Amino acid sequence: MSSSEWKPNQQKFGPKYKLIGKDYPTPDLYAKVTGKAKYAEDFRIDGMLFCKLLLSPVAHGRVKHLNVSKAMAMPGVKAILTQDDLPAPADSVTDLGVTIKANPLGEKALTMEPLYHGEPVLAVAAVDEYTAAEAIEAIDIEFEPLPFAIDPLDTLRPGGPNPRIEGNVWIRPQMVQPKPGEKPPSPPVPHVGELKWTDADFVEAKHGRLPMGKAQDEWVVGDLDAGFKNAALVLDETFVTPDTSHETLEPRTTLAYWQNGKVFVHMGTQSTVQTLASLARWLNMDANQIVLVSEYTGGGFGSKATGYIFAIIPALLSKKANAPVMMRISREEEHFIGRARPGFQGRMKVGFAKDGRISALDMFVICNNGPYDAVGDANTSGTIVSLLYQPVAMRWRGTTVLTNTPPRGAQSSPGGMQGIVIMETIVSKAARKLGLDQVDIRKINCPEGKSPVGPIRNGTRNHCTSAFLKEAFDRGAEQFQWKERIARPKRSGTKVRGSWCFFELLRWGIDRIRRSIRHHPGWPHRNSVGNWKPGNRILARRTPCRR
Amino acid sequence: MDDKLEVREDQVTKGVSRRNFIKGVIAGGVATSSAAYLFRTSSVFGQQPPGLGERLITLNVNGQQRRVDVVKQETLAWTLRYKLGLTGTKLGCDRAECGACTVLLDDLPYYSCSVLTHTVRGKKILTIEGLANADGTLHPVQQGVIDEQGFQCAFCMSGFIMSAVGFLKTHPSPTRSELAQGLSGNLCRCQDYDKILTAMMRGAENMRKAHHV
Repeated sequence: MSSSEWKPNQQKFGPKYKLIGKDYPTPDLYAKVTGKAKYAEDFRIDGMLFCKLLLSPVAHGRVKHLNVSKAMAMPGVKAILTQDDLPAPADSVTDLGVTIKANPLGEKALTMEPLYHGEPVLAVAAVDEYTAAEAIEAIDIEFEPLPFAIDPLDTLRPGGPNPRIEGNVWIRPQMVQPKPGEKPPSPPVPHVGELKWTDADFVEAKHGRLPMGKAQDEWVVGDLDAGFKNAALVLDETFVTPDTSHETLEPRTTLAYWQNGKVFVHMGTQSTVQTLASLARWLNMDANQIVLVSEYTGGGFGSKATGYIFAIIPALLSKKANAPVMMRISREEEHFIGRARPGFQGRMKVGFAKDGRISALDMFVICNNGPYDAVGDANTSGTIVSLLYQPVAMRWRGTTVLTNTPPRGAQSSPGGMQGIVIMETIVSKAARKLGLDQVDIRKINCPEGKSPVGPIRNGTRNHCTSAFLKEAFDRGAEQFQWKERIARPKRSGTKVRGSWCFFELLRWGIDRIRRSIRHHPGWPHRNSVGNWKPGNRILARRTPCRR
Repeated sequence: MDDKLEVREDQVTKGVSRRNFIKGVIAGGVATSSAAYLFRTSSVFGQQPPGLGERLITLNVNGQQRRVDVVKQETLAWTLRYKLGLTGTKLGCDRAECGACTVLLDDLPYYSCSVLTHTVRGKKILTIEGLANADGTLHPVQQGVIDEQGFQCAFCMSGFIMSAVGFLKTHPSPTRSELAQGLSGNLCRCQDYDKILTAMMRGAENMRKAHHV
């Protein structure tokens, strides 16, 4: 059904509703269709300098020697920024007043120990990009290559290279639980440690199956052994899902300048409030001294939710050069610094009853994290699979491994998408083997009403407050004329035609919606989601859940 | 848009092919710049390299004669955005892949990131800013977007609209799949293609009603 065929339910959303169920052009649309809408790169400030970045040519290395004097002496070059010019990252305070201490091992805007190819090492501001690029070439810099790993399995092997000097996984120390009535303490700062599997673990690889060594996290619900024992069909599949760049059409181009002690930053963001807080932390400044300008954003898909740390480069360069600085990011640079969905390697063993009901599900995932802050995709994938396929018994095991690849970030349905991609393939295969209809096998497994979700925590499981997937399948099958289509012959001359059933969920409804208004001392009520719109108009797909 | 402006025959450059683009860059003398090559920052195109003078030329942009200084290797996208203030034309990839920079040259859609400015003297250049009438009445395709609430982040929008306007000039009554083919040089990362096509089909309908073609 195309959007033009959809008509709002006027009976349900009658005259007393001004917006819901009504057709109206959004106020931003006129500016966009006439080309007047200004994205970050569309602003011009008198005396604006341009900035170019020197990117790491190695996957992991250390700057051994650096001399910028020749570049600084070039006509038109105004300032050079290195790691030494960055302020120390500040601690942050949550809405509950809990201090989250800055992690010295966290990502920096510029670094002298790059952890991935393409990581920004230094930045040059000059009168134009050509001069800035020439100056980058004039910089005398030498890197000491260090061991690197771009595949999680390489670093998990016994004696395998570590992507960071300190190791290959984040270790989160045990949190001290507060006593009733006490304010929660600051969580301990995670550190990087080493996780290696054994040679015995890797024997599986010789048989084309994913080795499964010690996992960092694990949970179980139900009797897994009984579920497999009573299954009519058991599938054990090794899988790989791709790393996919966010690839926002608007690159992370940023303009910054200072006026009367305040810094003005023009950038794209999915949430002005969250990005302002990030800038304050990265610049170690009071948020009241930062003016964030983000009139329009050319796509985010999760990668611009809390801003991007590289936005402070033109801000600091501008202060150093005493002039506005525009940092245009090229498409190639965007591939390096623009975040990506983490790819999984994993193994899924699923037991099905004759009617297609999943009796047992054993899920094992390795998440390729990149070198910096841990993404939650591995964990979420297990939660979403447990929600959408409602296995009678389930075990989830996950390990998030650091690698010398571009940093990952949340991308539309983070974790859930990977889990669903894996499961949909297996469910389809099971339907073929059991002789079941592709829609029916999904209907018999999907959540309904107050279906449970995820692991048991503190003795209870979370559950949906409502789920209507069965109705969605019925309506979808009816509109698609599913039964009629699959009854048609698949082969016609040289053409082979097939029909496919697939569903997807965005893990937004679980915890985002109820936090959309937040209270903060000294602030008016703020919408913590902010202008969370670019590229994310898929709220209708959520399954409301309760935490 | 003013169709009455005369075009001098001797100013018309024949075709803006990839071959001509590269030849033009070589004539500009900076195609082999190691900086641009090493960093692959084609964004450095269009800014004055040391020792290379600019050249004052006249462009016919949105029905107006605009005098502008350009260097030989300058792309049309750069000239429009950074010299003429027409920032409605977007740079998404700067390498002829995404189509966000699409403008019309003599009614034909071109990627302005891959057209050298000095090759379009004498051509009628139309950008998103020149589509609506002077009284603010939107072009039928722009109105189609409003009618159907097409696009999300809209960074690709001006390129899509210009491609559609160009395509509809020669295909006023396309089927949905024909229009999809006509717009296949433009990418939308929000993956809003269904609604975009609906909006563009509405634009085609609006154009027919307005006897715009």
